[in-house]
Amino acid sequence: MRIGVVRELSGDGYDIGVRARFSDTLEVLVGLGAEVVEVSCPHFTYALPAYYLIAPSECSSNLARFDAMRFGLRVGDDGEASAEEVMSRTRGIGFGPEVKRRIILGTYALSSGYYDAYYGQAQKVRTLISQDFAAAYERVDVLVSPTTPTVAFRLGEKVDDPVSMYLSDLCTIPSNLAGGPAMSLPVGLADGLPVGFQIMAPAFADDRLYRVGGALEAALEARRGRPFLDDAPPL
Amino acid sequence: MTPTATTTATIPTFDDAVARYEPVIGLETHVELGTTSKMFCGCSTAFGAEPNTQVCPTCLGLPGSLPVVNEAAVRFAVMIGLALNCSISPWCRFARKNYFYPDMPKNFQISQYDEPLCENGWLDVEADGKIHRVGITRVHMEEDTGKSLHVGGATGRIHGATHSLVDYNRAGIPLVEIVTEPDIRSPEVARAYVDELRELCRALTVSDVRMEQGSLRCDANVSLRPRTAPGEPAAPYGTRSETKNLNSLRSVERAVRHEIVRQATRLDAGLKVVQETRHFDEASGTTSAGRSKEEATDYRYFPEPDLTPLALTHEYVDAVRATIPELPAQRRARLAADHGFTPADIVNMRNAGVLDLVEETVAAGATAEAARKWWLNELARRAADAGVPPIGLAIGPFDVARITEMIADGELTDALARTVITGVLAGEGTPDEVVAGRGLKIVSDDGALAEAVDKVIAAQPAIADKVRGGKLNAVGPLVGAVMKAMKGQADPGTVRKLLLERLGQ
Amino acid sequence: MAITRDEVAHLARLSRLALSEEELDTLAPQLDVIIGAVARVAEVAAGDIPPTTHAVPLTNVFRADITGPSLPRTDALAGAPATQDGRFRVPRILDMDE
Repeated sequence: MRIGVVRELSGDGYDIGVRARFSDTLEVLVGLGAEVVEVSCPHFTYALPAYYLIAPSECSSNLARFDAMRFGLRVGDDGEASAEEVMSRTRGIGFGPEVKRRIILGTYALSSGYYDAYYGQAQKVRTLISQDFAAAYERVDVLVSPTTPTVAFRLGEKVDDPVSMYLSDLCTIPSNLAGGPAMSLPVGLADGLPVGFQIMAPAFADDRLYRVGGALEAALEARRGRPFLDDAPPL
Repeated sequence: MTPTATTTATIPTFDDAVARYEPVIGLETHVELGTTSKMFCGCSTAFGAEPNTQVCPTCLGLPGSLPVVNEAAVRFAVMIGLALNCSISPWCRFARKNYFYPDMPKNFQISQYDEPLCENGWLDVEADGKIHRVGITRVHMEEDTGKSLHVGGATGRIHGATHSLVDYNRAGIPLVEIVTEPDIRSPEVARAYVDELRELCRALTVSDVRMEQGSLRCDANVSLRPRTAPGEPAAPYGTRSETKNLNSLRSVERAVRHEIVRQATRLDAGLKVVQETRHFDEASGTTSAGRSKEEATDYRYFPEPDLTPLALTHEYVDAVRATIPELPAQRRARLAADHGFTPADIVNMRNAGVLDLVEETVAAGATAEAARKWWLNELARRAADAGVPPIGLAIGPFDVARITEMIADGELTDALARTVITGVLAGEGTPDEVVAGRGLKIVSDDGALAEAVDKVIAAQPAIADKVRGGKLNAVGPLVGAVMKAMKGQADPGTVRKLLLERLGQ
Repeated sequence: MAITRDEVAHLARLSRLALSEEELDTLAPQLDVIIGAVARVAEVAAGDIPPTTHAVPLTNVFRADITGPSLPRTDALAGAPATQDGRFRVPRILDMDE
């Protein structure tokens, strides 16, 4: 089994603890007989901006059906308000701040005059990311990276700093854009919080995820002497 | 409200308007495809079902549902494209047209945007004794919306309604939108184009094209430009209005005609034509502008991410091409060449719903003229009386061919033939069986006829004397009396001849 | 390029979202930052690169023209905020094209 470490999914923005758990895990894989090499996927650095154009654009359209006409919440239907006004009131109250932010962002990115620069260009970047994956899978069987650059932040901590919040999706987005399968495996703790190890495979090669993930989970459990979940604090 | 020009200028006549301005007309026609199931789900497309009984999570746009393209809808659209001489795109996608409207379950319509399935075709249209070639810009696929019933206002109008009731049975029925080049120059050609397109779709059996049920609807873009002298370059196009949802051929012609006069009135008064959507009012025959938009609509088109692209192969397109039947224009040419029908004959027979029946009757042995005459007159009338289309009558092309044969052979008069038809329609059997059963053969030259002639002459001496005196026209009432006595079973020509002989003429 | 509060208000109308004054105040600068960050996609030279529209390169996924079961009407209407005469009852509609 040849395992590729994605060069672009590591470095300065990654917590020291996350990096440590990631290197430990690579050593376990080497111990299991895997060959670990570094591969470069140069366009992965553009995955995040591409995703935050594509996903909000499609969300703005996908969520349009939540309009208070056929199902769900209806607000402000006082017999005077028009359907248009009732839609707006209901959506204004029913959606949370992140959803509204994405709807507005997506509506903007799809607007005439902006489409080519934003949505259209993001879809081209998506093609380049798929090409990076294809080139990498010529050399290796699976790709690996940390699942997130940092451990979990506190609930609501970054709600007013969306760009920083979106950065936590950095590593998982490339597979989502390219349509390949990926798995996150808990591999230990940093600052008392779980660290995830991401395994990615080509489309329709999901079995590789289970083979690598299964072997790794068994090895980590053997080393700890107990399942990882036993260390979780009581709820 | 846009200022009405009628208050500031005299209204030109239509002829005056088109003498000075050249109308430039383009049409956008929506045709509902006659698939069994909807565009993206398995719900039935049958017209007239109880509201919201032909809906499912997909066509109701419920969260988590996904569309899958109905192959027949694509095939029908390709047939229309090929019949309109379009090129079929080897690769194209569906796109989402985003706007909020309660009759649209997802608040986007799955349509096509910059990659239509069919492009660059034409349709030849006959009007004013000439052929007009109308360019087809594109034919693209999309889904229909639901239908709203507006409650609480005047006569179901949207204005003044307190609320609306929505039925989504129609939502998701496949449509094609057929867009012409601005090639049309008169209301008559606009109407003829829609008529020809309707016949074309009917011949392809891809739609029932019933304008009154909305399965064919037309929007008319109309603008005017000053006419220029021959040899001078044409003036640039003027500003156009778009009159929506014309639902009869007559409305297409009237609405375009009204728009031409309305726009000419404005231009004469020094006013500009406003680019806007207008609505046609059947009752008054006029168009009216809608509420002006607060801001320009931005449909935010993007490729539909839930559907894969269409990549139709040459083999697929060729296989569809092979299924295209004779088209209306080809048929007209053939009918004229083979049977001598004039264009007017064909239009009359088509409008009466007897064209196929006439052809089949000719194939069964009748002459073209006899088949045309009997279907277009007597049989069309019987059908109208019975409230059924002619094809629904209990008499068919073989029966009619046999009846015309008996007339040609002198065995039946027209009057007797009508009695035979009554008998066939009453279920008394074939024409021969009815003739036998009712004893309807013409009595041409036997004692019974001679006796009847003598009796009538004896009963009407005054008229008989007139005829003897040389007034041949006076014989008419005597012929009628003999025919009556014979219960119609005589040939009027023979009766006339016999009477004149007896009266020394 | 800065995204203005007026632009956000226009986008909110277009997307049928009633936003409060406070929401408009916070969203405009946030969107400005986000758009600044995502605009990085423009750095990639991708002139002749075809855009992806579907993650899996499939074409011509069709279903046969066969009817399947529709929902019973009571189920179709079950989630509706209001119904009348077997139809979805909605507030008065402004004419789309007018």
